[in-house]
Amino acid sequence: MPGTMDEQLLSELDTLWQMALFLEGGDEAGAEALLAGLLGDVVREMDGRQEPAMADDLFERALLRRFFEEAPPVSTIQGDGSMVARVVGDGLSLLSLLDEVDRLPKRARAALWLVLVRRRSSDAAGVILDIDESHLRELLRYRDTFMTRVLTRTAGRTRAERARPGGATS
Amino acid sequence: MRCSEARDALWPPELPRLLDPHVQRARNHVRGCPECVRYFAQDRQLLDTCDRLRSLRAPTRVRLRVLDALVSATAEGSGVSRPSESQDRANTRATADGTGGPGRRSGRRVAGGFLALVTLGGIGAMVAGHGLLGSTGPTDSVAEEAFVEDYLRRGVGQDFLDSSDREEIARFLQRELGLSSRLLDAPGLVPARVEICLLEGRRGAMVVYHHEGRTVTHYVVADEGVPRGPRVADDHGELAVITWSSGQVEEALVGELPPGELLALVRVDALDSS
Repeated sequence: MPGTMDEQLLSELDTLWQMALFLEGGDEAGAEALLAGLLGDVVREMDGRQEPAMADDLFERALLRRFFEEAPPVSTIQGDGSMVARVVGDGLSLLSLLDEVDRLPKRARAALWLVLVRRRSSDAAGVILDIDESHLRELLRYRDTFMTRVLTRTAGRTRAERARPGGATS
Repeated sequence: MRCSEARDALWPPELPRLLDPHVQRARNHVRGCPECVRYFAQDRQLLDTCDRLRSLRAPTRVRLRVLDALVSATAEGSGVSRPSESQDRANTRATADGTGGPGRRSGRRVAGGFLALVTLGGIGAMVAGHGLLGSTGPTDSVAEEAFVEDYLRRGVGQDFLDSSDREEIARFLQRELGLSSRLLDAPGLVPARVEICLLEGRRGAMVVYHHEGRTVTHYVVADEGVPRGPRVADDHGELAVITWSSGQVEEALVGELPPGELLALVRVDALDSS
């Protein structure tokens, strides 16, 4: 179905918000600023035209461009390809997950978003990020460390909750 | 087979794949490899967590910011389209055909319709010297078409509550809009959901009711007009629209029912409450 950029933006707003939250490691203010930046780009792009919507990943790419333009955060963990976490708890905490995203380098966040969350193929993710397969593989090596830390944190939170008087018992 | 090869062959696990010899070998490997079993278990957990992430909706302030910017861009001649009248009618027909209507609308179409609605209302409000939202001065009645457009092609749902509890819905209306609007209480009318919406740039709410297997929507918008009783709006194709106002709250009932039936729901409710 043909659509315009404004229509497409509105229909994808929730997904873009989720993406912005993920990329910003759960920081709502950062996510909002990121979306505001994207919005400025879109409005400029529209610039008097009824722009037909293009690729499905138009805004995803634009949001990533914006994200990469921001000052790089300090990465606090390394993608060392360590062993898969041995902790498999009852479920991950979304908060822990976003906290841990916040510790990753930007490109790794983007790669994890595209591949792990959005389930894009490696080819598609590589095209969106404009990197080759080996570079993408390097970025995805953060996955194991990331998962280990999320699971450990989740397990820690669960233990703390259980230990708290009146806390969860199951 | 190495772990990385097996994982590559089987990831993402939810993707259907042909059971060729390579995939078979990968499966055999994973069955006997605790590390790979854990890897896919974690992936499942990650997906479950991301499902929670995907259930998050952009906050109202973000939606309003986006809409405001797009409407402003439109006002500056930046190419936001208003669907043609014929397209509007086509949408109405689509509803009658069972190919459109609430709950069956594509996101893109819906968004366009909503934007058109906000655009029309927003530009009008801006021209009149008001902001897009939050005008506190005296207001004109919402045009009937706005209720119909919203009903047919509502775009960006905002805060909502799925509930059949009338008291809970009333509290939601009070909290979100400061409206002490009474819910309709005709026999067989069961509330199911309340959702904040924008009507011609004014913030209101829609309460969705189920009535004998059909859906009707009750709109409430703060008003500073003249009280008026329920009346059937002009012809809107398959949709009937009843509008009325208490002077403080402007209301409309919209649904794919004969106008008489819809009007009866309002009148029965009024009789019950008198």
